[in-house]
Amino acid sequence: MSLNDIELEDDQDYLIQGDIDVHLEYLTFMIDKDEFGVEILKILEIKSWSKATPLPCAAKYVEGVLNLRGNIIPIIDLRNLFGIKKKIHDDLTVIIVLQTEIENEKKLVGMTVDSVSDVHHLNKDAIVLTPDIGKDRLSDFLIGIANISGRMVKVLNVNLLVDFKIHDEILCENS
Amino acid sequence: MSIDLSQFYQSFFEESFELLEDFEKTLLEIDIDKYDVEQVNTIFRVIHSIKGNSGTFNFTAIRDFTHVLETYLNQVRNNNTRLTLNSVQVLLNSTDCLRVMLVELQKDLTVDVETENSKKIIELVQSYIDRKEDDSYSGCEVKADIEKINNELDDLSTEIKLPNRIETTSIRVSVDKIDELINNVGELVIVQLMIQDITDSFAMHKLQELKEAVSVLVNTSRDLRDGVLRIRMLPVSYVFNRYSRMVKNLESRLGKRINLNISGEHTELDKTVLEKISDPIAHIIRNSADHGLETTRERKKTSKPEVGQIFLNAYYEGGGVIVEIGDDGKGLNKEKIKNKAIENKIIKPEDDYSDDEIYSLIFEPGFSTADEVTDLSGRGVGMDVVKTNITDLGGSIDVHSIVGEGAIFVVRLPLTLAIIESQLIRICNQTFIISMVSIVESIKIDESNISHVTLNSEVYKFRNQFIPIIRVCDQFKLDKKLSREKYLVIVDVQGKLIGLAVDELLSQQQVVIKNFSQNYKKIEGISGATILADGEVGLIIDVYGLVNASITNWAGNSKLPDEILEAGD
Repeated sequence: MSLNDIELEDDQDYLIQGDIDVHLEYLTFMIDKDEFGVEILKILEIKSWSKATPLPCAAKYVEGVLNLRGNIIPIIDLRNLFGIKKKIHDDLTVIIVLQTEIENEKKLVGMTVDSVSDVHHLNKDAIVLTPDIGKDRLSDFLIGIANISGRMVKVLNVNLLVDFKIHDEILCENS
Repeated sequence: MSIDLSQFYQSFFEESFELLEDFEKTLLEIDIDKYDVEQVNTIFRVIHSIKGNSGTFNFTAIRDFTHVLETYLNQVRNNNTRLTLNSVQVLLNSTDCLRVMLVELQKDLTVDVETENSKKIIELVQSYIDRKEDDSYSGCEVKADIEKINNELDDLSTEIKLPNRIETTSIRVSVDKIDELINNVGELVIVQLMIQDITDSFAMHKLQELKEAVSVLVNTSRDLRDGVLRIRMLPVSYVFNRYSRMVKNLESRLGKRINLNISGEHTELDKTVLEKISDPIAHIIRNSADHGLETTRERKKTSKPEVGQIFLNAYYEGGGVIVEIGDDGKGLNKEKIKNKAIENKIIKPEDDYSDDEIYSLIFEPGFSTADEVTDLSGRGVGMDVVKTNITDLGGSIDVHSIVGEGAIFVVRLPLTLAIIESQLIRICNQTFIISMVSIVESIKIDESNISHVTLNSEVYKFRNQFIPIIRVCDQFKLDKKLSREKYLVIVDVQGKLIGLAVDELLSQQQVVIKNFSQNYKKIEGISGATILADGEVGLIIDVYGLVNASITNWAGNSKLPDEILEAGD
């Protein structure tokens, strides 16, 4: 499965469901000076940051694994994954736990972000595709960008974020 | 109005497989000369149910197939015709055939088609139906046909893993077990209230009360844990019953008379363990029937009863279950095994071995003493695989034998795969877990015993033996600066000793295994994780995978000690 296929599927999904009435809620959060959004239905919970158990032979963006009430979940450092410069975790740093289903398998993955900002209703039409120019490792993880009261919010593709097998492909392509 | 039937498919398949098992079991109990009406009724009912169910779901091939069987069985039921040896055999074959059809259908709901075999069986059964007045008829043609079908079905059943074992996603739990759980939960709620009550207005004099409440909590939660684990437990009869059929087949193929005695079938084991143990036990039984038991003529000569006995027994012992597979055959031939082992350079002629040590040589790879390789067993690929499968489950296997009286295989299995006895270790400030089963010994590293074979491979002198060392810290690419390797955990990987260099040995305890590869991806050398007492995650080292991974690493650096190469094969 190539990356383009996945993006296409998702795009179509959005176009089909993109009736005017369809509003979805998005949680936005900050990394550095950028604002990102994820579909709120795919978030299991938000928890304060705690140190994860490092995994052997893991890529740098994988912080390790944490115990979430008996489930062992890997934690992604989004800064590192998107190639944004490192910052020491502080009081505002939180872990957003994503929950999705891929091929009938439930996946739980956490990601550390600088801070959460707000919840927005977004019409699906409001999300436009990322411009094709200047592809980098971040652009592969985006569904598109949205304009929320004048600010640009990058909407993340959760299904790609939680799939570590696809990460390798993406990171390979962009290295 | 149409109803969406798809939600019932799963239960249709499960029920069908279960019904087929009943069918098979009853058929095997039928004595051609004097069977009773109840038995015929049972098999008729089963086929009737399957026919009805498949009709509901519109699985026409299965419906038509069972319809023919039903017609025949109805005649038998009304005493228009009698079951014959042949027809019972054909009915038995039809269960295999139905299983194959069901498995295919389960994989892909559109594959509702007749198979070659089902057509043949239909033809045969139809011929029984048409010939109802003349049951003495047993033409050569029919016999030949049956032979042919038998052979083909045998081929099929070896090719296709027979059902129920592929993907059973649901489990039947007795009401008792669930009631027990509900009781536990009830107690848990009470304890919780107790503790809440105490802590709401806590004063020092209530400390004793609190301690008591906590100890109740500890007990209750342990009971709850055990209860939940017990849900996954199934009686061993779940797999044992399959062997009766197999032994019956073996009887006719080997021309021996064999009786299979099953006992302790109510002993319960974890479902996963049961499923994985089913093939190895089948292999041992085949071996016993083929090599262990003498032919009828030989048995007569040694004045043994004509019918050979194979025993299959299961019982609890300690924290596990023991399965014994024995026979009253000729026993293992010590001299032959010894000679063969010397020939294959597994042992040296001058070495002194106890009887049991010699017998256990049959678990070495590439070992077979059968004079003749039969299609059943004797290729020497069997027993070592059996042993590997069992040790992979955290179990062990031993063999005892008395010449002329028989041999017995003793398989020890853990009750469950969800909890393991383990050793906690520390490497680079991180806690890891190694299963106790694979640990032979842990020693303090004496630097003077370490020598380099090549730049990247080291060996440790351990009781006049050089064993390869794996520095886990390097292998897992941990922070080398934190590493203080002081101990060597010596593990057994498929009979080879390997030393794992670790920083610290912590406590030994039971841990609950959790898998997280569905959230992440498979990590080489890590088999899972567990939650430690402080709530942190501890990773469980997969010793076999770790050794394998380090071999690949070394392979990149050429030159590697032979010892390790072999261990990884």
